Amino acid sequence: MDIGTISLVLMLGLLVLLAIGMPLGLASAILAVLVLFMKFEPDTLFNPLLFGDGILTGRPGSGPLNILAQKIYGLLTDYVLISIPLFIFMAALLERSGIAKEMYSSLNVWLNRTRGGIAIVTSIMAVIMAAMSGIIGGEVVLLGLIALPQMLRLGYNQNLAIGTICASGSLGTMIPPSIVLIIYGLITETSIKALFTAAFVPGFMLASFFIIYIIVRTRLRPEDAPLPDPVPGEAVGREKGMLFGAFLSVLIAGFSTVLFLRALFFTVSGQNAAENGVEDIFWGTPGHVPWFAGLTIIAVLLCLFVFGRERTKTGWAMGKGLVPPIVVIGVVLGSIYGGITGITEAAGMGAFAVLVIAIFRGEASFELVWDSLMRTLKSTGTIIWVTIGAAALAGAYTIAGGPTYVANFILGQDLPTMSILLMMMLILLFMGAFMDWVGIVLLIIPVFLPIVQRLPIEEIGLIGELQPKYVAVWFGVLFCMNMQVSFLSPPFGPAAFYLKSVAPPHISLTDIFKGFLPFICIQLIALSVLLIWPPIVEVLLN
Amino acid sequence: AAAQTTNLRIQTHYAPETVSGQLAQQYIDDIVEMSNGEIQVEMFYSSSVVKSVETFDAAATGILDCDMTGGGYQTGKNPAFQFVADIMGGYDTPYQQLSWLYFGGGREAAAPLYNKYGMELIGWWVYGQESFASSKPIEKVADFKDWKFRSPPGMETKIFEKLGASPIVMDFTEIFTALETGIIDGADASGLANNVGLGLYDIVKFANFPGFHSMPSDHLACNKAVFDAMPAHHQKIMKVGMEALALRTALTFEKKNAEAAALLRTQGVTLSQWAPEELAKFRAAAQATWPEFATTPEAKALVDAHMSYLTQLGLVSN
Amino acid sequence: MKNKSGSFIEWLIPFCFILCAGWLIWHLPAFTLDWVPPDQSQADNLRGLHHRNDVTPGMSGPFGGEADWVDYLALLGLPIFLYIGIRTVRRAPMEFESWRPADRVSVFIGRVTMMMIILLTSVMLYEVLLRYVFEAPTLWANELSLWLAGFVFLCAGLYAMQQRSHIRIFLLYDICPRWMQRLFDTISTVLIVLFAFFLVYGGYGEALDKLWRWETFGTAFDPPIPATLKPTVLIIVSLVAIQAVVNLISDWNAEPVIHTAADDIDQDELEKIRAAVGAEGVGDLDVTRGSIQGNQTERN
Ligand code: NA
Ligand code: NA
Repeated sequence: MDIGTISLVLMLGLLVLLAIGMPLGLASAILAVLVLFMKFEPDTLFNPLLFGDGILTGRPGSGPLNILAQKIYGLLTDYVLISIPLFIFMAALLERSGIAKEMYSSLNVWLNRTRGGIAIVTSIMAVIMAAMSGIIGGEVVLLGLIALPQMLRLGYNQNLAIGTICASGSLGTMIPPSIVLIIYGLITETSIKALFTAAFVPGFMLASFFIIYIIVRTRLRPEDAPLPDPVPGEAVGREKGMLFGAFLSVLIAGFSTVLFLRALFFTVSGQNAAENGVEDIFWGTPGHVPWFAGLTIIAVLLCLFVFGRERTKTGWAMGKGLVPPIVVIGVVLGSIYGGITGITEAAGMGAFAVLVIAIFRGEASFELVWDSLMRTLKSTGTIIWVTIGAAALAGAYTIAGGPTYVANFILGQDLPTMSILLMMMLILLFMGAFMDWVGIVLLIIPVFLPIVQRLPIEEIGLIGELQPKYVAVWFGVLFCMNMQVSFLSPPFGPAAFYLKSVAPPHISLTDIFKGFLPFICIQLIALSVLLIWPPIVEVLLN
Repeated sequence: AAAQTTNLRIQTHYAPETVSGQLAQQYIDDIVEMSNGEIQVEMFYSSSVVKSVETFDAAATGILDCDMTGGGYQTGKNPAFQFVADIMGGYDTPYQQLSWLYFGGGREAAAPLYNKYGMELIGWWVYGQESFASSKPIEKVADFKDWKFRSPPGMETKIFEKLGASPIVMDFTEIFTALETGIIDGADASGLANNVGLGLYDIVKFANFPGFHSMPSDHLACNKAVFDAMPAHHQKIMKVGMEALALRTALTFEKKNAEAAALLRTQGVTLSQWAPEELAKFRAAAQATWPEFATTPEAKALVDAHMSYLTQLGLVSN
Repeated sequence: MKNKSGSFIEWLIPFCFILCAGWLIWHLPAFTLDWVPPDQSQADNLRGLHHRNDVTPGMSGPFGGEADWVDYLALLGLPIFLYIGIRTVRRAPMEFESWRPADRVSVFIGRVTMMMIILLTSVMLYEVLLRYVFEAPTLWANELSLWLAGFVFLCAGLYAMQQRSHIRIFLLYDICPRWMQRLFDTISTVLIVLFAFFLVYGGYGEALDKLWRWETFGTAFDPPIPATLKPTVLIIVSLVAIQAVVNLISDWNAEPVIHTAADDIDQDELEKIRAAVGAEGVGDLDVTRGSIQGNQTERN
């Protein structure tokens, strides 16, 4: 059978199997079998009696069918894939500890007198959580439990409250670490660290768009975000600034002490002795020791003599909920960017750090670990098995000559580069409305990326030119931004359902999706920025 | 009567735009033309069908027809593959190694090994000695002390542990991050020209050239049943074509590596050439490791074949 | 339910099971050599490998040969712990409420997998500690993680199948009448079984070869990842197919429900998260997500 027919049957088959509710991974897997039959033994499809005669079924225990097992095995031995259960484990521990709640209080205390303060706090908190974990779902639930009741009680506009929570809560896969980028990197063999680095600027850009929108909207329509009644005796204005300064000094003192001890350890153990041509340990040379010591002393002096003991104590009590998240971010991103571990081990370090913090907070128990493990197991099975099915299908389709055929077909149409890209965006957005991101990345990206890589690079984007080696990275970030929209887009935006499960009953799904509209527009603006100015992904890469 | 046709699905781990990928493509063009189109090939680059390590089994079980990666991926099957794929501390140049294959008893020793796993060895192509990429100078054996480097799995880890290094087994894809962040001091990736292509010397500035520690030979091996069913002239075309590929590869990389070396020197990369007495130390450590790794009769036979040929060449004296 | 999930015994038995299974796998070449020795060359290689890896070198066995007393003890322990495990596994509130014997097997394998996730994380942290603090990386941690993770990924899918948590699209499914849903489910199940059949049909040769020859990873630590993981792929996919059939039978009489993306967040999990964040004033929960399990509880 020719590959055009195979591709068509494959697409229709996928639609039918998904429509009847077959699990996505296993639907892909059985379609892989179908593709192999169409390629190697089409006759058997029409006459099952021929089973056992052709090159596919003629040799039991062997033959092209073995590609199914080989692809699955190949996927299972991919080291980066291990980061997925570890990131899920970390997020599960995080959700079940009180770290999020305290972080919320600590942020809120500084911004509660600002117009739209809780909404801004929600966004900032979502960004911090996004920098800790790499998945979505849990964040929306947490924000829905913590921030939604507060905003509704204060009389915030319901749409604003809902949109803020869900849009910000979805940032988990846009701001690194992100399992969307991990899976993308895995299947396209793109450096995952490069993807992470590239996603920072677009991720923070999207987050800042949200915050700007909240500020502008609440200034224009103050009734959307009423201010809470002042609490008698609460610090305001300059005094609050002083308290914040005191808190910051304690924070700086603490972290510079840790860095001081680290540099000291390297110096004493001689690990950082200067060698010709050897790159220095980041912030860990003997020269750094006095700097960190000095910084600690200055911060301590500030606390004692400028802000004063009492104020330092109060400021610390107000802000200390921010410390655990900063530590976790430091461990995960610090491990990756500080040269301690790769991405996989960093995920393990993150899980460990959250567990240790939970122990210090007195929340850790065997029950906590047990429940988190159970959640990890379930989510891992769900994600990995889509990957398994898609790997089998990709193998079968490749051997049938599929990706080459599709790429030639699309490039043969002689369309302008930007229209090809726009068409891809539309397809991704459309698929995103109905399908889970894992399925999209596994089924669509292997077909799309080779096409993008063959497009003339000078025609990609309108401002600036992308370096050829970063095309896959750019497309990965672009894809990730698309998936941000998919988390919100009706009818199946998962964020809506996560919020629905914790929202008061009078808020219907329609209400929730209505609240998303302005935020989806913001996401589309961010997506356009990536399309128009591709080198935005290179800001931190160079 | 119509001429008999042969259709082959071949996978290589090289990307089509790399030098090796283009050499492979030329081999395909050669055999198609020489057979007057009777041989047709569907070529899969960059291990797009199955992982590189799985290519051999994919060909053996009939998913593909031929494996155009290297025997080094199969040492878990039988350590003997180490001694047909990368005889570390053995030959100096591709020419010596190829002469062992064709005239030193190599083919006779390797054939039963491949046949045992349902495959037929068609030929080898060897791009030459590999060079390290390192963030520290590597001029002598003593520099290997506490040198953390990414080692490809296999015998190499054992040899370098003996020399005091800390080989770290990690995925090839993690090399770049690991070098950048200092998780490792160095990496064993490929030959000098290929390393330049990979961008390794954008990250670290030390290398050794000419290389000495590892000279992997890539192979073309086909499913035995498929090969046996081919008409004799197709078989001949495939095998003779590989001889041309082997020569072309060795010559191409001779030039590419020299060009790469000149380029790197202008870019401030330090290229160390090892002194003979240092090389001898490495060779001794490597050859002491061979017997440890040669645990099967096939492997022992291959080590013996190498030893006698190396002695003949004057690379080993006993 | 008398004992709740996560009790001491549910931690202990999976760990014992892993201990026995791990020991057995590490020493499997001993049994291969005693029971089904491969040809001379492979047998020599296998014997050499086994003698290098033998944790209890020189110990004698009850039947002579390579396998020693501890090996046979582990062999005996494996079914015993499996049996105890299946008997003592308890459904957690967040788990799906189908509880046939076949489900117990899947859930116990799930418990074992949970313990393996702990082992996996520990191995990884140990490697980081050794490499970063003591500058003495191991040669085995990387591959041991890889090996463990392979089992974790596979077994997690079996558990997810039992828990009905594989990703599906319910757009059309949910609006169809129940008889049509049954038809759809039957088609899906038949196709899953077919996939398992073709996977095994095409793959058993290579898997058995690798198991028999004890093909290793070809590294310094040299774990038998291909030898163990290749057959496991076939076994677990077959178990998934069996579980799919069990699910079809179990859910045959279930009432139709509307599925949403939030189905995988369980009410009990939500309660715990709620408690952790000390959420207040949310009002009564609107249970739009009511699920098959809810209906079954009512029926029972
Ligand atoms: Na994130
Ligand atoms: Na959507």
